[in-house]
Amino acid sequence: MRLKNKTVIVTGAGRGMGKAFALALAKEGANVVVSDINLTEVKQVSEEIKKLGRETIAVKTDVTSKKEVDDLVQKTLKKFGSIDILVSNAGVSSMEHVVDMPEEKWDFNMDINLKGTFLVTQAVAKEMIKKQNGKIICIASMAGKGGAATQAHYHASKHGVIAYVKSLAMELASSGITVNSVCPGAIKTSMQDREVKWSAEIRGAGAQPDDIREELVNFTPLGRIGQPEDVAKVVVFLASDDSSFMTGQAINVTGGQVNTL
Amino acid sequence: MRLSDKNAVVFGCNSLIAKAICKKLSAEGCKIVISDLKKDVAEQLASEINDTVGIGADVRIEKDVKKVVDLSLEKFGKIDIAINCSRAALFKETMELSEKEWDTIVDFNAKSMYYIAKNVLRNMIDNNSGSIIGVTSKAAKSGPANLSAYAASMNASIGLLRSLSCEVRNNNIKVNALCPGYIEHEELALGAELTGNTPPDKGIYVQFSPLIDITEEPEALANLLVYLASDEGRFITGQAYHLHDDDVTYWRNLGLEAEM
Repeated sequence: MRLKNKTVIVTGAGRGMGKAFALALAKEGANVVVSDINLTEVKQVSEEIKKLGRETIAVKTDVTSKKEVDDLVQKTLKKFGSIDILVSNAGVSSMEHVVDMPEEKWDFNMDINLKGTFLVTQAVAKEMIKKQNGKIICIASMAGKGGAATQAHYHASKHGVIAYVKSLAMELASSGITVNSVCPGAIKTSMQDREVKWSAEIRGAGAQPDDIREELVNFTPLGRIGQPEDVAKVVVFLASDDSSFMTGQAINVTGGQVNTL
Repeated sequence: MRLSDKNAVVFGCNSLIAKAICKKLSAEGCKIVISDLKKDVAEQLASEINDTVGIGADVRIEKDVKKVVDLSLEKFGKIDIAINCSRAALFKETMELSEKEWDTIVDFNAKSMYYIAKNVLRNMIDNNSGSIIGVTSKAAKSGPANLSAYAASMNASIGLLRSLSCEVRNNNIKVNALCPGYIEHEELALGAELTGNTPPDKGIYVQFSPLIDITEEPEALANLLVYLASDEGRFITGQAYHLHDDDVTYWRNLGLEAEM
Protein backbone atom coordinates (compact mmCIF):
# COMPACT_ATOMS: atom_id res chain seq x y z
CA MET A 1 0.00 0.00 0.00
CA ARG A 2 1.46 3.26 -1.16
CA LEU A 3 -0.52 5.69 1.01
CA LYS A 4 -0.68 3.92 4.37
CA ASN A 5 -2.05 6.24 7.11
CA LYS A 6 -1.89 9.33 4.92
CA THR A 7 -4.64 11.88 5.37
CA VAL A 8 -6.35 12.87 2.14
CA ILE A 9 -9.06 15.39 1.33
CA VAL A 10 -11.08 14.84 -1.85
CA THR A 11 -13.55 17.54 -2.91
CA GLY A 12 -16.49 16.70 -5.14
CA ALA A 13 -16.26 13.14 -3.82
CA GLY A 14 -19.97 12.31 -3.92
CA ARG A 15 -19.99 10.68 -7.32
CA GLY A 16 -18.15 10.19 -10.60
CA MET A 17 -14.42 10.69 -10.64
CA GLY A 18 -14.23 12.17 -7.14
CA LYS A 19 -15.82 9.05 -5.67
CA ALA A 20 -13.45 6.83 -7.65
CA PHE A 21 -10.47 8.84 -6.39
CA ALA A 22 -11.62 8.59 -2.76
CA LEU A 23 -12.04 4.80 -3.00
CA ALA A 24 -8.77 4.26 -4.87
CA LEU A 25 -6.85 6.35 -2.33
CA ALA A 26 -8.49 4.43 0.54
CA LYS A 27 -7.55 1.11 -1.06
CA GLU A 28 -3.93 2.31 -0.97
CA GLY A 29 -4.20 2.80 2.79
CA ALA A 30 -5.18 6.46 3.07
CA ASN A 31 -7.72 7.88 5.49
CA VAL A 32 -10.03 10.00 3.40
CA VAL A 33 -12.05 13.12 4.13
CA VAL A 34 -14.75 13.09 1.51
CA SER A 35 -16.30 16.45 0.79
CA ASP A 36 -19.12 17.45 -1.51
CA ILE A 37 -21.91 19.98 -1.78
CA ASN A 38 -24.28 16.98 -1.61
CA LEU A 39 -23.83 15.59 1.90
CA THR A 40 -26.15 12.60 1.35
CA GLU A 41 -24.03 11.26 -1.52
CA VAL A 42 -20.74 11.81 0.21
CA LYS A 43 -21.96 10.05 3.37
CA GLN A 44 -22.58 6.96 1.27
CA VAL A 45 -19.03 7.16 -0.10
CA SER A 46 -17.79 7.50 3.46
CA GLU A 47 -19.63 4.27 4.37
CA GLU A 48 -17.87 2.45 1.51
CA ILE A 49 -14.51 3.71 2.75
CA LYS A 50 -15.27 2.46 6.27
CA LYS A 51 -15.86 -0.99 4.81
CA LEU A 52 -12.32 -0.85 3.45
CA GLY A 53 -11.13 -0.41 7.04
CA ARG A 54 -10.05 3.22 6.76
CA GLU A 55 -10.97 6.18 8.85
CA THR A 56 -13.10 8.77 7.14
CA ILE A 57 -15.40 11.72 7.63
CA ALA A 58 -17.94 13.24 5.27
CA VAL A 59 -18.13 17.01 5.09
CA LYS A 60 -20.57 19.23 3.24
CA THR A 61 -18.58 21.89 1.36
CA ASP A 62 -19.51 24.51 -1.19
CA VAL A 63 -16.03 25.22 -2.62
CA THR A 64 -17.03 28.76 -3.57
CA SER A 65 -17.52 29.62 0.10
CA LYS A 66 -14.30 30.45 1.91
CA LYS A 67 -16.09 29.86 5.20
CA GLU A 68 -17.11 26.32 4.24
CA VAL A 69 -13.65 25.58 2.83
CA ASP A 70 -12.06 26.72 6.09
CA ASP A 71 -14.56 24.55 7.94
CA LEU A 72 -13.49 21.54 5.83
CA VAL A 73 -9.86 22.11 6.77
CA GLN A 74 -10.66 22.57 10.45
CA LYS A 75 -12.77 19.39 10.60
CA THR A 76 -9.96 17.48 8.91
CA LEU A 77 -7.36 18.78 11.34
CA LYS A 78 -9.60 18.01 14.32
CA LYS A 79 -10.06 14.41 13.21
CA PHE A 80 -6.63 13.62 11.74
CA GLY A 81 -4.21 16.34 12.92
CA SER A 82 -2.73 17.17 9.54
CA ILE A 83 -3.30 16.94 5.78
CA ASP A 84 -0.90 15.02 3.53
CA ILE A 85 -2.73 15.00 0.22
CA LEU A 86 -5.39 17.15 -1.42
CA VAL A 87 -7.39 16.16 -4.48
CA SER A 88 -9.22 19.28 -5.60
CA ASN A 89 -11.83 17.73 -7.84
CA ALA A 90 -15.14 19.59 -7.40
CA GLY A 91 -16.24 20.82 -10.80
CA VAL A 92 -19.22 21.59 -12.99
CA SER A 93 -20.02 22.23 -16.63
CA SER A 94 -22.77 23.65 -18.80
CA MET A 95 -23.22 24.25 -22.50
CA GLU A 96 -24.16 27.37 -24.39
CA HIS A 97 -22.75 29.56 -27.15
CA VAL A 98 -20.95 32.72 -26.05
CA VAL A 99 -23.43 35.05 -27.76
CA ASP A 100 -26.30 33.51 -25.79
CA MET A 101 -24.38 32.86 -22.58
CA PRO A 102 -26.02 34.36 -19.48
CA GLU A 103 -23.53 35.87 -17.08
CA GLU A 104 -24.72 33.42 -14.39
CA LYS A 105 -23.42 30.51 -16.48
CA TRP A 106 -20.01 32.15 -16.86
CA ASP A 107 -19.88 32.69 -13.09
CA PHE A 108 -21.15 29.16 -12.36
CA ASN A 109 -18.28 27.55 -14.31
CA MET A 110 -15.58 30.01 -13.27
CA ASP A 111 -16.54 30.19 -9.59
CA ILE A 112 -16.70 26.46 -8.89
CA ASN A 113 -13.96 25.23 -11.23
CA LEU A 114 -11.38 28.00 -10.92
CA LYS A 115 -12.07 30.09 -7.84
CA GLY A 116 -13.01 26.93 -5.92
CA THR A 117 -9.58 25.51 -6.81
CA PHE A 118 -7.93 28.67 -5.50
CA LEU A 119 -9.88 28.71 -2.22
CA VAL A 120 -9.39 25.00 -1.46
CA THR A 121 -5.71 24.82 -2.41
CA GLN A 122 -4.88 28.02 -0.54
CA ALA A 123 -6.53 26.85 2.69
CA VAL A 124 -4.91 23.40 2.53
CA ALA A 125 -1.49 24.64 1.42
CA LYS A 126 -1.30 26.88 4.48
CA GLU A 127 -1.44 23.73 6.62
CA MET A 128 0.99 21.81 4.41
CA ILE A 129 3.53 24.66 4.62
CA LYS A 130 3.59 24.23 8.41
CA LYS A 131 4.95 20.71 8.06
CA GLN A 132 6.93 21.44 4.88
CA ASN A 133 5.38 18.51 3.06
CA GLY A 134 2.38 17.74 0.92
CA LYS A 135 0.88 16.70 -2.39
CA ILE A 136 -1.76 18.72 -4.18
CA ILE A 137 -3.58 17.33 -7.20
CA CYS A 138 -6.05 19.50 -9.08
CA ILE A 139 -8.44 17.95 -11.55
CA ALA A 140 -8.44 20.14 -14.64
CA SER A 141 -9.52 18.69 -17.98
CA MET A 142 -8.51 18.14 -21.56
CA ALA A 143 -10.57 21.34 -21.90
CA GLY A 144 -7.66 23.11 -20.23
CA LYS A 145 -5.57 22.59 -23.34
CA GLY A 146 -7.89 23.25 -26.26
CA GLY A 147 -11.23 24.68 -27.23
CA ALA A 148 -14.71 23.46 -28.09
CA ALA A 149 -17.84 25.24 -29.19
CA THR A 150 -20.53 25.79 -26.52
CA GLN A 151 -18.12 25.44 -23.61
CA ALA A 152 -16.06 28.62 -23.65
CA HIS A 153 -16.69 29.23 -19.94
CA TYR A 154 -15.75 25.67 -19.00
CA HIS A 155 -12.59 25.79 -21.14
CA ALA A 156 -11.69 29.18 -19.68
CA SER A 157 -12.02 27.80 -16.16
CA LYS A 158 -9.93 24.69 -16.87
CA HIS A 159 -7.22 26.67 -18.68
CA GLY A 160 -7.17 28.84 -15.58
CA VAL A 161 -6.67 25.82 -13.32
CA ILE A 162 -3.66 24.63 -15.33
CA ALA A 163 -1.92 28.03 -15.22
CA TYR A 164 -2.80 28.49 -11.55
CA VAL A 165 -1.30 25.08 -10.73
CA LYS A 166 1.96 25.99 -12.49
CA SER A 167 2.25 29.23 -10.52
CA LEU A 168 1.35 27.59 -7.22
CA ALA A 169 3.86 24.80 -7.85
CA MET A 170 6.63 27.38 -8.18
CA GLU A 171 5.62 29.05 -4.93
CA LEU A 172 5.34 25.85 -2.90
CA ALA A 173 8.38 24.02 -4.28
CA SER A 174 10.65 25.33 -1.53
CA SER A 175 8.18 24.04 1.08
CA GLY A 176 8.42 20.47 -0.18
CA ILE A 177 4.92 20.53 -1.64
CA THR A 178 4.22 19.32 -5.16
CA VAL A 179 1.28 20.61 -7.17
CA ASN A 180 0.09 18.95 -10.36
CA SER A 181 -3.05 18.89 -12.44
CA VAL A 182 -4.73 15.99 -14.20
CA CYS A 183 -6.51 16.45 -17.52
CA PRO A 184 -9.10 13.72 -18.06
CA GLY A 185 -10.56 13.25 -21.53
CA ALA A 186 -13.92 11.59 -22.22
CA ILE A 187 -14.72 9.79 -18.96
CA LYS A 188 -17.98 7.99 -18.11
CA THR A 189 -19.55 10.15 -15.41
CA SER A 190 -22.88 11.82 -14.78
CA MET A 191 -21.29 15.01 -16.13
CA GLN A 192 -20.63 13.23 -19.40
CA ASP A 193 -24.17 11.85 -19.45
CA ARG A 194 -25.50 15.39 -19.18
CA GLU A 195 -23.05 16.72 -21.76
CA VAL A 196 -23.82 14.16 -24.45
CA LYS A 197 -27.51 14.87 -23.93
CA TRP A 198 -26.98 18.63 -24.24
CA SER A 199 -24.75 18.12 -27.27
CA ALA A 200 -27.44 16.09 -28.98
CA GLU A 201 -30.06 18.74 -28.21
CA ILE A 202 -27.85 21.57 -29.45
CA ARG A 203 -27.03 19.68 -32.63
CA GLY A 204 -30.69 18.88 -33.31
CA ALA A 205 -31.65 17.06 -36.53
CA GLY A 206 -32.55 13.98 -34.52
CA ALA A 207 -29.08 13.53 -33.01
CA GLN A 208 -29.10 11.13 -30.05
CA PRO A 209 -26.82 11.03 -26.98
CA ASP A 210 -25.45 7.68 -28.17
CA ASP A 211 -24.40 9.29 -31.48
CA ILE A 212 -22.32 11.79 -29.52
CA ARG A 213 -20.84 8.97 -27.39
CA GLU A 214 -19.88 7.11 -30.52
CA GLU A 215 -18.10 10.22 -31.80
CA LEU A 216 -16.20 10.51 -28.52
CA VAL A 217 -15.02 6.93 -28.95
CA ASN A 218 -14.01 7.63 -32.56
CA PHE A 219 -12.00 10.65 -31.42
CA THR A 220 -10.16 8.51 -28.86
CA PRO A 221 -7.22 6.50 -30.25
CA LEU A 222 -7.56 3.84 -27.57
CA GLY A 223 -11.10 3.33 -28.84
CA ARG A 224 -13.21 3.53 -25.69
CA ILE A 225 -14.72 5.93 -23.20
CA GLY A 226 -12.52 6.21 -20.11
CA GLN A 227 -13.70 5.04 -16.70
CA PRO A 228 -13.25 7.08 -13.49
CA GLU A 229 -10.89 4.32 -12.31
CA ASP A 230 -8.58 5.03 -15.27
CA VAL A 231 -8.07 8.54 -13.93
CA ALA A 232 -7.94 7.38 -10.30
CA LYS A 233 -4.79 5.34 -11.04
CA VAL A 234 -3.01 8.52 -12.15
CA VAL A 235 -4.28 10.44 -9.13
CA VAL A 236 -2.92 7.71 -6.82
CA PHE A 237 0.43 7.92 -8.61
CA LEU A 238 0.53 11.71 -8.18
CA ALA A 239 -0.46 11.31 -4.51
CA SER A 240 2.31 8.79 -3.86
CA ASP A 241 6.07 9.07 -3.51
CA ASP A 242 6.37 7.56 -6.98
CA SER A 243 5.86 11.06 -8.36
CA SER A 244 8.13 12.87 -5.91
CA PHE A 245 10.12 14.70 -8.61
CA MET A 246 7.07 15.96 -10.53
CA THR A 247 5.52 19.36 -9.99
CA GLY A 248 3.71 22.03 -12.01
CA GLN A 249 2.61 19.50 -14.63
CA ALA A 250 -0.72 18.95 -16.39
CA ILE A 251 -1.04 15.22 -17.10
CA ASN A 252 -3.37 14.04 -19.87
CA VAL A 253 -5.49 10.95 -19.20
CA THR A 254 -7.38 10.92 -22.46
CA GLY A 255 -6.87 7.60 -24.20
CA GLY A 256 -4.57 9.35 -26.64
CA GLN A 257 -6.99 12.09 -27.60
CA VAL A 258 -5.13 15.36 -28.07
CA ASN A 259 -6.89 18.65 -27.73
CA THR A 260 -4.28 21.32 -28.26
CA LEU A 261 -5.18 23.84 -30.88
CA MET B 1 -2.31 49.96 -46.10
CA ARG B 2 -3.62 46.63 -44.95
CA LEU B 3 -6.52 47.75 -42.76
CA SER B 4 -8.10 50.56 -44.73
CA ASP B 5 -11.90 50.61 -44.37
CA LYS B 6 -11.53 48.58 -41.16
CA ASN B 7 -12.77 49.72 -37.78
CA ALA B 8 -11.32 48.56 -34.48
CA VAL B 9 -12.25 48.80 -30.86
CA VAL B 10 -9.49 48.55 -28.25
CA PHE B 11 -10.09 47.94 -24.55
CA GLY B 12 -7.26 49.01 -22.23
CA CYS B 13 -4.61 51.35 -23.60
CA ASN B 14 -2.41 52.33 -20.68
CA SER B 15 0.62 50.29 -21.70
CA LEU B 16 3.41 50.44 -24.23
CA ILE B 17 1.99 47.35 -25.93
CA ALA B 18 -1.50 48.86 -26.30
CA LYS B 19 -0.10 52.15 -27.52
CA ALA B 20 2.05 50.41 -30.12
CA ILE B 21 -1.01 48.42 -31.25
CA CYS B 22 -3.22 51.51 -31.59
CA LYS B 23 -0.55 53.41 -33.51
CA LYS B 24 0.11 50.47 -35.81
CA LEU B 25 -3.61 49.95 -36.49
CA SER B 26 -3.93 53.61 -37.39
CA ALA B 27 -0.86 53.53 -39.60
CA GLU B 28 -2.49 50.68 -41.52
CA GLY B 29 -5.61 52.79 -42.13
CA CYS B 30 -7.85 51.57 -39.32
CA LYS B 31 -10.30 53.78 -37.46
CA ILE B 32 -10.32 53.08 -33.73
CA VAL B 33 -12.41 53.57 -30.64
CA ILE B 34 -9.95 53.45 -27.75
CA SER B 35 -11.16 52.82 -24.23
CA ASP B 36 -9.50 52.59 -20.88
CA LEU B 37 -10.47 52.40 -17.24
CA LYS B 38 -9.03 55.91 -17.05
CA LYS B 39 -10.96 58.19 -19.39
CA ASP B 40 -8.18 60.78 -19.63
CA VAL B 41 -5.63 58.14 -20.68
CA ALA B 42 -7.91 56.99 -23.51
CA GLU B 43 -8.65 60.55 -24.58
CA GLN B 44 -4.99 61.50 -24.51
CA LEU B 45 -3.97 58.58 -26.71
CA ALA B 46 -6.89 59.22 -29.07
CA SER B 47 -5.77 62.83 -29.44
CA GLU B 48 -2.38 61.62 -30.68
CA ILE B 49 -3.80 59.33 -33.39
CA ASN B 50 -5.91 60.13 -36.48
CA ASP B 51 -9.49 58.88 -36.79
CA THR B 52 -9.82 57.74 -33.20
CA VAL B 53 -12.16 58.37 -30.32
CA GLY B 54 -11.25 57.92 -26.67
CA ILE B 55 -13.73 56.83 -24.00
CA GLY B 56 -13.61 55.66 -20.38
CA ALA B 57 -14.87 52.14 -19.57
CA ASP B 58 -14.48 49.61 -16.77
CA VAL B 59 -14.27 46.21 -18.48
CA ARG B 60 -15.53 44.52 -15.31
CA ILE B 61 -18.94 46.08 -16.00
CA GLU B 62 -20.86 44.77 -19.01
CA LYS B 63 -22.79 48.04 -19.37
CA ASP B 64 -19.48 49.87 -19.84
CA VAL B 65 -18.29 47.37 -22.45
CA LYS B 66 -21.59 47.71 -24.31
CA LYS B 67 -21.26 51.50 -24.18
CA VAL B 68 -17.91 51.29 -26.01
CA VAL B 69 -19.32 48.86 -28.57
CA ASP B 70 -22.36 51.09 -29.13
CA LEU B 71 -20.18 54.17 -29.57
CA SER B 72 -18.05 52.28 -32.05
CA LEU B 73 -21.09 51.25 -34.09
CA GLU B 74 -22.51 54.76 -33.92
CA LYS B 75 -19.26 56.35 -35.10
CA PHE B 76 -18.10 53.86 -37.68
CA GLY B 77 -21.09 51.63 -38.46
CA LYS B 78 -19.40 48.26 -37.93
CA ILE B 79 -16.69 46.55 -35.91
CA ASP B 80 -14.08 44.56 -37.81
CA ILE B 81 -11.47 44.14 -35.12
CA ALA B 82 -11.91 43.87 -31.34
CA ILE B 83 -8.86 43.89 -29.10
CA ASN B 84 -8.75 43.28 -25.38
CA CYS B 85 -5.63 44.77 -23.88
CA SER B 86 -7.05 44.86 -20.34
CA ARG B 87 -4.20 43.55 -18.24
CA ALA B 88 -3.86 43.91 -14.51
CA ALA B 89 -1.14 41.98 -12.68
CA LEU B 90 -0.93 41.49 -8.94
CA PHE B 91 2.48 40.41 -7.71
CA LYS B 92 1.69 38.61 -4.47
CA GLU B 93 2.16 35.19 -2.93
CA THR B 94 -0.88 32.95 -3.42
CA MET B 95 -1.03 32.26 0.32
CA GLU B 96 -1.50 35.99 0.93
CA LEU B 97 -4.06 36.53 -1.84
CA SER B 98 -7.53 37.51 -0.60
CA GLU B 99 -10.70 36.32 -2.28
CA LYS B 100 -11.44 39.91 -3.29
CA GLU B 101 -8.01 40.32 -4.88
CA TRP B 102 -8.49 37.07 -6.79
CA ASP B 103 -11.89 38.22 -8.08
CA THR B 104 -10.56 41.60 -9.13
CA ILE B 105 -7.73 40.20 -11.23
CA VAL B 106 -9.77 37.35 -12.77
CA ASP B 107 -12.67 39.67 -13.61
CA PHE B 108 -10.48 42.37 -15.08
CA ASN B 109 -8.42 40.04 -17.28
CA ALA B 110 -10.77 37.13 -18.09
CA LYS B 111 -14.38 38.11 -17.53
CA SER B 112 -13.65 41.23 -19.59
CA MET B 113 -12.86 38.95 -22.53
CA TYR B 114 -16.25 37.26 -22.17
CA TYR B 115 -18.08 40.61 -22.03
CA ILE B 116 -16.19 41.97 -25.02
CA ALA B 117 -16.60 38.85 -27.16
CA LYS B 118 -20.29 38.60 -26.38
CA ASN B 119 -20.96 42.24 -27.21
CA VAL B 120 -18.99 42.51 -30.46
CA LEU B 121 -20.05 39.13 -31.86
CA ARG B 122 -23.56 40.14 -32.90
CA ASN B 123 -22.23 42.76 -35.27
CA MET B 124 -19.45 40.51 -36.56
CA ILE B 125 -21.88 37.63 -37.18
CA ASP B 126 -24.19 40.00 -39.08
CA ASN B 127 -21.24 41.10 -41.21
CA ASN B 128 -19.95 37.54 -41.61
CA SER B 129 -16.51 38.94 -40.85
CA GLY B 130 -14.36 39.87 -37.89
CA SER B 131 -11.23 39.40 -35.83
CA ILE B 132 -11.11 39.16 -32.05
CA ILE B 133 -7.71 39.32 -30.38
CA GLY B 134 -6.96 38.99 -26.70
CA VAL B 135 -3.63 40.34 -25.51
CA THR B 136 -2.94 37.90 -22.70
CA SER B 137 0.49 36.90 -21.39
CA LYS B 138 3.28 34.38 -21.64
CA ALA B 139 2.55 33.86 -17.93
CA ALA B 140 -0.58 31.97 -19.05
CA LYS B 141 1.73 29.32 -20.47
CA SER B 142 4.65 29.39 -18.04
CA GLY B 143 2.98 30.02 -14.66
CA PRO B 144 5.36 32.26 -12.73
CA ALA B 145 5.49 32.34 -8.93
CA ASN B 146 3.63 35.17 -7.15
CA LEU B 147 1.44 35.82 -10.18
CA SER B 148 -1.03 32.95 -9.87
CA ALA B 149 -4.24 34.97 -10.28
CA TYR B 150 -2.72 36.73 -13.27
CA ALA B 151 -1.55 33.48 -14.90
CA ALA B 152 -4.90 31.80 -14.20
CA SER B 153 -6.90 34.70 -15.60
CA MET B 154 -4.81 35.02 -18.74
CA ASN B 155 -4.99 31.29 -19.48
CA ALA B 156 -8.74 31.43 -18.81
CA SER B 157 -8.91 34.12 -21.45
CA ILE B 158 -7.04 31.87 -23.89
CA GLY B 159 -9.42 28.99 -23.12
CA LEU B 160 -12.40 31.20 -23.87
CA LEU B 161 -10.84 32.39 -27.13
CA ARG B 162 -9.98 28.86 -28.26
CA SER B 163 -13.54 27.67 -27.69
CA LEU B 164 -14.95 30.77 -29.31
CA SER B 165 -12.80 30.20 -32.39
CA CYS B 166 -14.60 26.85 -32.84
CA GLU B 167 -18.03 28.43 -32.36
CA VAL B 168 -17.64 31.14 -34.99
CA ARG B 169 -15.60 29.18 -37.52
CA ASN B 170 -18.48 29.31 -40.01
CA ASN B 171 -19.05 33.04 -39.51
CA ASN B 172 -15.67 34.02 -40.94
CA ILE B 173 -14.62 35.38 -37.56
CA LYS B 174 -11.06 34.77 -36.40
CA VAL B 175 -10.23 34.55 -32.72
CA ASN B 176 -6.65 34.58 -31.47
CA ALA B 177 -4.48 35.54 -28.51
CA LEU B 178 -1.12 37.25 -28.19
CA CYS B 179 1.10 36.35 -25.24
CA PRO B 180 3.60 39.12 -24.45
CA GLY B 181 6.74 37.75 -22.84
CA TYR B 182 7.12 40.33 -20.13
CA ILE B 183 4.88 42.33 -17.84
CA GLU B 184 4.95 46.09 -17.98
CA HIS B 185 5.19 48.14 -14.85
CA GLU B 186 1.87 49.79 -15.80
CA GLU B 187 0.11 46.42 -15.48
CA LEU B 188 1.61 45.79 -12.08
CA ALA B 189 0.74 49.33 -11.00
CA LEU B 190 -2.84 48.88 -12.22
CA GLY B 191 -3.20 45.52 -10.47
CA ALA B 192 -1.94 47.09 -7.26
CA GLU B 193 -4.24 50.08 -7.64
CA LEU B 194 -7.34 47.95 -8.29
CA THR B 195 -6.67 45.79 -5.25
CA GLY B 196 -5.49 48.50 -2.86
CA ASN B 197 -1.87 47.32 -2.79
CA THR B 198 1.38 49.21 -3.20
CA PRO B 199 2.89 48.82 -6.66
CA PRO B 200 6.01 46.64 -6.58
CA ASP B 201 9.41 48.09 -7.12
CA LYS B 202 10.43 48.20 -10.76
CA GLY B 203 13.43 46.10 -9.84
CA ILE B 204 11.39 42.96 -9.11
CA TYR B 205 11.99 41.72 -12.60
CA VAL B 206 15.26 41.62 -14.37
CA GLN B 207 16.17 40.84 -17.92
CA PHE B 208 16.73 37.11 -18.28
CA SER B 209 17.84 36.73 -21.85
CA PRO B 210 20.45 39.19 -23.04
CA LEU B 211 19.69 38.01 -26.59
CA ILE B 212 16.33 39.71 -26.70
CA ASP B 213 15.75 43.45 -26.55
CA ILE B 214 12.37 43.75 -24.86
CA THR B 215 12.00 47.35 -25.94
CA GLU B 216 11.25 45.94 -29.39
CA GLU B 217 8.47 43.68 -28.18
CA PRO B 218 5.50 46.13 -28.27
CA GLU B 219 6.06 46.88 -31.93
CA ALA B 220 6.73 43.23 -32.77
CA LEU B 221 3.42 42.29 -31.13
CA ALA B 222 1.63 45.09 -32.99
CA ASN B 223 3.05 43.78 -36.28
CA LEU B 224 1.79 40.28 -35.55
CA LEU B 225 -1.59 41.63 -34.50
CA VAL B 226 -1.99 43.51 -37.78
CA TYR B 227 -1.10 40.35 -39.66
CA LEU B 228 -3.73 38.35 -37.73
CA ALA B 229 -6.37 41.06 -38.19
CA SER B 230 -5.67 41.61 -41.88
CA ASP B 231 -6.70 39.56 -44.87
CA GLU B 232 -3.27 37.89 -44.87
CA GLY B 233 -4.10 36.19 -41.59
CA ARG B 234 -7.53 34.98 -42.66
CA PHE B 235 -6.72 31.29 -42.23
CA ILE B 236 -5.40 31.64 -38.68
CA THR B 237 -7.73 31.11 -35.74
CA GLY B 238 -7.77 29.64 -32.24
CA GLN B 239 -4.07 30.33 -31.71
CA ALA B 240 -2.17 31.85 -28.78
CA TYR B 241 1.18 33.27 -29.85
CA HIS B 242 4.21 34.15 -27.84
CA LEU B 243 7.20 35.57 -29.68
CA HIS B 244 10.13 33.72 -28.20
CA ASP B 245 10.83 30.79 -25.92
CA ASP B 246 13.51 32.59 -23.96
CA ASP B 247 11.60 34.10 -21.10
CA VAL B 248 12.79 37.66 -21.19
CA THR B 249 12.20 38.41 -17.57
CA TYR B 250 12.29 36.47 -14.39
CA TRP B 251 11.12 37.38 -10.99
CA ARG B 252 13.70 38.46 -8.48
CA ASN B 253 13.88 36.21 -5.39
CA LEU B 254 11.60 33.61 -6.95
CA GLY B 255 13.21 33.15 -10.31
CA LEU B 256 11.40 29.98 -11.25
CA GLU B 257 9.05 29.35 -14.11
CA ALA B 258 7.44 26.03 -14.92
CA GLU B 259 8.08 24.47 -18.29
CA MET B 260 5.13 24.14 -20.62
